Amino acid sequence: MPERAHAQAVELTNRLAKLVEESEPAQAAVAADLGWSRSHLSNVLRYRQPLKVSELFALCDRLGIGPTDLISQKVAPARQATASFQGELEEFIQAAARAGYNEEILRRIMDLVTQLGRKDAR
Amino acid sequence: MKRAKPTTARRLASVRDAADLVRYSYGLRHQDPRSYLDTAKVAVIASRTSPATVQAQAWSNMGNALRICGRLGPARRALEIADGFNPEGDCLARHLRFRASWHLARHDLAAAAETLREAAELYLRLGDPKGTATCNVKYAIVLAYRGEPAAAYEVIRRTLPAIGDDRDLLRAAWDIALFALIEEDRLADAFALLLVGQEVFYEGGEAYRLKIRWAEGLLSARMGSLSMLEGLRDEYASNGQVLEAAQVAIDIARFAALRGQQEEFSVNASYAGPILASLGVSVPSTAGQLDAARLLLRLQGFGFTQGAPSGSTQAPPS
Repeated sequence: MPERAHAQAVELTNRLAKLVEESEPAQAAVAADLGWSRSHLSNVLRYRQPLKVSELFALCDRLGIGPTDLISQKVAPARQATASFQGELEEFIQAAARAGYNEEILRRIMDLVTQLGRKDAR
Repeated sequence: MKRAKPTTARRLASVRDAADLVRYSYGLRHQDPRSYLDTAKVAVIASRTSPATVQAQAWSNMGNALRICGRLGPARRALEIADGFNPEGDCLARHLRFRASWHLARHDLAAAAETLREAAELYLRLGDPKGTATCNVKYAIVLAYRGEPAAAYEVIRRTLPAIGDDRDLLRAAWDIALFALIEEDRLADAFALLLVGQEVFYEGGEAYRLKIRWAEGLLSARMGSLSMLEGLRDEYASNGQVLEAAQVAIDIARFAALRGQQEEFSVNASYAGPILASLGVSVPSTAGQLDAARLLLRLQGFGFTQGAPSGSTQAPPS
């Protein structure tokens, strides 16, 4: 378990680092957009500082990818589960719509998650 | 279409008697647990000249508020006083739910399941599907604590259609599903549920903000960092939510033990052990937490037992 969690963390971070490296704006611009110092971005991408989930969300958003995409490409059992999870998410959205939540917003997010799942399946 | 919620001031202005005050205070439980308790106490005082049913509601409600604030001993006494007013019908069903939540807080899972069964049967007789759905959601918590996250998740999925327009219940259901997915190691699905449900979660106020941080902390811990959970433990402690603080500490201890981080393990085990013991809480029994508690028992010698110890439900030291 610890080795697995650590390996997953390193894999995720390495993938993030690669995406930042390949991204159109330079690393400094990505850091500036996020309101981070360049050294903080560099440190989390080199696994010298832990990456918070909220930071992961922010970084993924800046790079135009979803956290689910990042995770599901690296965690095989999770990838399999995600493909079958879309129908379950739909049930949650329907329940939220019945409770009066804005279905359009929920469905837009759901579509994003679905697209990421399809992309992953390819 | 988003449903407009009456403001707190407007809801307070509509309070006309003790029964209204009980309902008003109950509405504060997620947003502001301390105010919930304060208002529940006032409702008990206000109900002194009311019919027995209202007094039962008021005492039962105060028991629930005390439980939410981690004061399990006084909560039990308040619930017992409510018993003395012989609640019936809806009032009894809600009282049974509060009792079940109290058992859950002590991780007395058998008692919680049995009390929920009684409540669900009563709701069925009363023809109240939302009441039954509430019992199902709580039963899912029992299953999650019992180390059966997949079963808990399935109960939630089956219950979703019956939740209707109750946003608090929906949020609770969504929350349990999220934790069940994390427990099952379905991290991508947990992320997806968290992303899609952000609006649902964050509308729940302070209590849910902290619960979401807990979920994020668990995900973060699985990716190698304990700092989010540590921050959350400290925040719960500073809020006076000692039971939640201890539970987060056990989560940290579990991950620290698995990674061989002895110092983090000792700090968190030392923190959680006496709090859980003083609350009369038996070993938290999700599979992972049970492992950590076994380690606690072996390494720290706090003397936890699987069953709930009798006569040990004093309030935590203030």
